[in-house]
Amino acid sequence: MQQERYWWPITLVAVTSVFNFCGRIVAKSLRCCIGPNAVLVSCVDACLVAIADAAQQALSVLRICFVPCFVLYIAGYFTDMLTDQAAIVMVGVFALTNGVVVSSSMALATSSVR
Amino acid sequence: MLAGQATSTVLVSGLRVGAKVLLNSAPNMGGAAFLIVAAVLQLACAMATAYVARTPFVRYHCARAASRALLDDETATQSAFSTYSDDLLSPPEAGWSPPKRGFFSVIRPVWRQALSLWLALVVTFSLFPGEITSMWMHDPQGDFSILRVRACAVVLGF
Repeated sequence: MQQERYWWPITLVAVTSVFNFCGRIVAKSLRCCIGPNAVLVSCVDACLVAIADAAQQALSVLRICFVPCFVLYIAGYFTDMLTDQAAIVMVGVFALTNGVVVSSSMALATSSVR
Repeated sequence: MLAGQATSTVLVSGLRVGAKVLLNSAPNMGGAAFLIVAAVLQLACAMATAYVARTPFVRYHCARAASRALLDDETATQSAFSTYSDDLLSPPEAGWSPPKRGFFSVIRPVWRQALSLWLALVVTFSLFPGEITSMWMHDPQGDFSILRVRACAVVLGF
């Protein structure tokens, strides 16, 4: 039974990997609609680019909230709220936002200085 | 490149889940099998990288990129030189060198993206893999067979 417990970290790493991949796919899909290389180039598109840029920066700042959440879960505080199911959701959102922010930042930066 | 990197992490997770499913009764063997297969895969990737760099397709595109960079440098040199002289055909003065892009001239238009990327990676590598792999279930009496099915479903179903 003790060995069965090791499924938990393996599951978390698997969830992280899969949702990170999903985040990168989402970022790529967004770049097809919004961004310097998008098909639609107009005033509306420029506004969308600015909004997407600001949202991405806000997201990267908001991701700091994951640090206390994970620490509280590991320390065993707020067990009513930070349940095991919540931990899986938290890891999924953490990985998804990582994929979106990292992928879109790198793509936007390289296309800006080209 | 980014999608390929993310795909490799999914494949490694699938490999770990597969090794644990097949060798669940012998955890040390499962861990050893995972590490050996991962090492073989890394070796194969290194050899494939060395092979791909020698293919005509990659060599053609590398040569094309190098010629394009050379052309860009010549254009930059000409535009910089035209600010000093109207006659582009006259040779530049001795000791004159083309303008080089400094760190700040490159980072200035992209500092916001660079900052958000830095912040995202700081948060990510603060928590993953160290903290996430040290998380344990609060309810250890949970149904691990369901968890096992979920782990397989997440990777294989994806």
